[in-house]
Amino acid sequence: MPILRSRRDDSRTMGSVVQRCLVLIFVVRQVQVVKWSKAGTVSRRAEDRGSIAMHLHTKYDSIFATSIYRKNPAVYLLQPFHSTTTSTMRILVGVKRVIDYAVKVRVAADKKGVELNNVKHSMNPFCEIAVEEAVRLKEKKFATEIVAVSVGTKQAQETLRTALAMGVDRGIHVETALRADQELQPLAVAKMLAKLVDKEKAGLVILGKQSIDGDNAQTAPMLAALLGWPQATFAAGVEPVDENKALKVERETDTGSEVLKVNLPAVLSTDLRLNTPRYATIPNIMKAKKKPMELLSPEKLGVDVTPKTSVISVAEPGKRKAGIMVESVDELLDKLKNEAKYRGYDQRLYPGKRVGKHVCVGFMRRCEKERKIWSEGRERGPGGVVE
Amino acid sequence: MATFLRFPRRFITSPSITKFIAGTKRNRVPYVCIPTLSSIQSSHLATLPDIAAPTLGLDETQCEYFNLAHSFAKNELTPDNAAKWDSKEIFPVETMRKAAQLGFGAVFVREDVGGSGMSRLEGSVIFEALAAGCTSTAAYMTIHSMCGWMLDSFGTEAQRQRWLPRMATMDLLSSYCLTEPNSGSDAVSLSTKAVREGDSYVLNGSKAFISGAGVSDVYLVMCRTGEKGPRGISCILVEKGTEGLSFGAPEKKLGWKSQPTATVTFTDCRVPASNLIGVEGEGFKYAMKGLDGGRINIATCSVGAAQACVEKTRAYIMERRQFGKAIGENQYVQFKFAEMVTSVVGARLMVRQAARLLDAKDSQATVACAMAKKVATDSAFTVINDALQMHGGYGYLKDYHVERYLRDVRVHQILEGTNEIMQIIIARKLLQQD
Repeated sequence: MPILRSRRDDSRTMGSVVQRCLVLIFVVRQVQVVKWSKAGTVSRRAEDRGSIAMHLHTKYDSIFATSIYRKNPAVYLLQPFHSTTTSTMRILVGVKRVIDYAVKVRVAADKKGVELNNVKHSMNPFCEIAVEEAVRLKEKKFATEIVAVSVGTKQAQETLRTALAMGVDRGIHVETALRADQELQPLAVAKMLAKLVDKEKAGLVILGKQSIDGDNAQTAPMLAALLGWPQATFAAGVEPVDENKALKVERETDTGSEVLKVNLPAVLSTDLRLNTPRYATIPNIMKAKKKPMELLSPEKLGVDVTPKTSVISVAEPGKRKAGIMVESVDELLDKLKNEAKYRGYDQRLYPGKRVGKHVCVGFMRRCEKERKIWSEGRERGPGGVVE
Repeated sequence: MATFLRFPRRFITSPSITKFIAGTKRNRVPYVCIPTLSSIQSSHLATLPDIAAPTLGLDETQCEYFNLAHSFAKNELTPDNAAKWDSKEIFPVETMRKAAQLGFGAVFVREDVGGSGMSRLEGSVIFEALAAGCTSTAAYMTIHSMCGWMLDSFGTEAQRQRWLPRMATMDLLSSYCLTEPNSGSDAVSLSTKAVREGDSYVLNGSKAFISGAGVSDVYLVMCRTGEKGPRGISCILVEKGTEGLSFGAPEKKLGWKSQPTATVTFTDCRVPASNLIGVEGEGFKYAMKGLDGGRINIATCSVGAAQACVEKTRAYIMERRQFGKAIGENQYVQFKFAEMVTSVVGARLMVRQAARLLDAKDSQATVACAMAKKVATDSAFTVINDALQMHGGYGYLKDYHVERYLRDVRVHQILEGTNEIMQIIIARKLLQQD
């Protein structure tokens, strides 16, 4: 397992041979130090391994450092030496601050979105599951460190603190004033996460499958694509295999359960039934205050976060009609057979579907009104069509 | 692709989420709805605006504590559980141990023996959230934490190490024994005797209305080791299983049914002299100090129960329709509701003020605690009674839970010093001659 990872091997042109040699010398010297010290057992090795990697990455462009590591046979020779059983495995977890799942959302007066002010926020439930899974992997000794990342307003730090209290080791807050449910979009977040994966040299990224505000479910796949890593989305079971070099992931699909093996490094996104998140305990809430939190910004990461889509308008869904009482099971069956209408999602409208000049970004339900809108090709409410 | 939004299992216990999921399913399956009681008692309307939120004015950490306790209460002290414990008189020891895992077992105890080392204010924030779930269970937990605090504050290092770690996890439950059949408000007149014989004390007498009696493992007993009056009282710890310690039959009560209450009787009950907590003759002082905190706790539990009821009431009056409109559109109901919420908020402010003063060891703390206890317990009873009235006939049914809160908070006006005794304490201070 390489210690410096990047699949982007387009860096061959970067850096002269001289530079590469310099770095190589440095690496070899470091290793010699380790070899010479008799007490330099496993932990020392791990430390030095980290410091070499750190040095390469801080001194040179990370891609260049990786390419040296990849291509130079001398460095390759070091690989078995470094990949001991106690090698560092850092998990990066994304946590998002969203409107609390129990809050009844209201459309704001300007119809441009839902009301965010004075509304209870908490950690996205799927992110909670992601944090829990990372903590469990650490408890299984699969991982050595967990880093939580949250992109959002200053209050996102509260969410990060919750993650820290659940067992995450440190936090990274990327501050942006963008609305997290609309303006902060999956591609921008994925790009920032990709930068952070490089910076932190993470070996596994766990994200929630979707956030309950935007409901995009795109960040994890986009991140996997940017990194060139394998991905396992909607994970409902995760188990390290092959001496922690791969993960066996169970996914729930509409047609049944699917079991995948993904080689590490990889990106996971968590489904509902993966685990039940723990409560943060009072002593851990106190400890979390002392855990480090790094403050960054999209600019510092060099990522353009300008939204690529904009919401034209948001409306409340139509009121549901009252139900009826049935007297008997027979009557119920009769109604099911003869009167009940299937009110599933409209298969013709899927994310990415173009409707005139508009593109559908969410799933729409089939009903009279929407069908009309569909035929006229006008823009519509939440999770609907935007320009 | 799985497109439906799914929620973690532990969220499903929340009524609003159950409703949400049921709603999602209704879109997939037939459009035939069978209304259930839980769908009538919708809680999505229950959220009160921030001005009445228990987190108003709290700092970030305190908010986090509140949220933790609140989500624990929502998931574990659910209305269904609380109603079951109430009707079947179950003492939910396992649930309390779960709570203790989160740090709610020894809230005021220092960290070195497993406590959470919290201030009274932080404790109040936590217990308010728990009491909104199950008032009776939360109230027992406050009693247990008061015993822990007493042991932690006045016990020797050996005593702390011996009992507190297991009390913090609630593997050991504790009871506070002050009241006697013939010594209630006049606590100084207590007559349970402890006679020093060599290396041990021999206890004789009985204690009445002891929460947890029979189940608790540790009893902090206030008993007479010397002269008449407060200076002759000491605090002695008696473990369950000691010869001569026996319990009466569980009392049949109006409320507080999720915790057993019974008399505790000592007949030549011999305990080692090392079980004396603190100094001989100082027991009454400890008892009174403990009660200052105890009064904040009981007042807190009242505020939590009242908060739960005004939230239920808000949902109800916005949904219940009579004469062609929601009953909440009537000005009388609106005024009454405004009055109820205002008194909950007012009581909460007094409780937190008293907690702050107690934390600061202010000389006015005792009176502030007495005032807070009186105001919070009286107003909570009135508010919950009004809430029941607004629910009409349904309020009288157990399914709507308001009556349980009413029965649970009634005793708050009586215990930890009756509200009349609170007025004695207040008046004595106010009319003190310099």
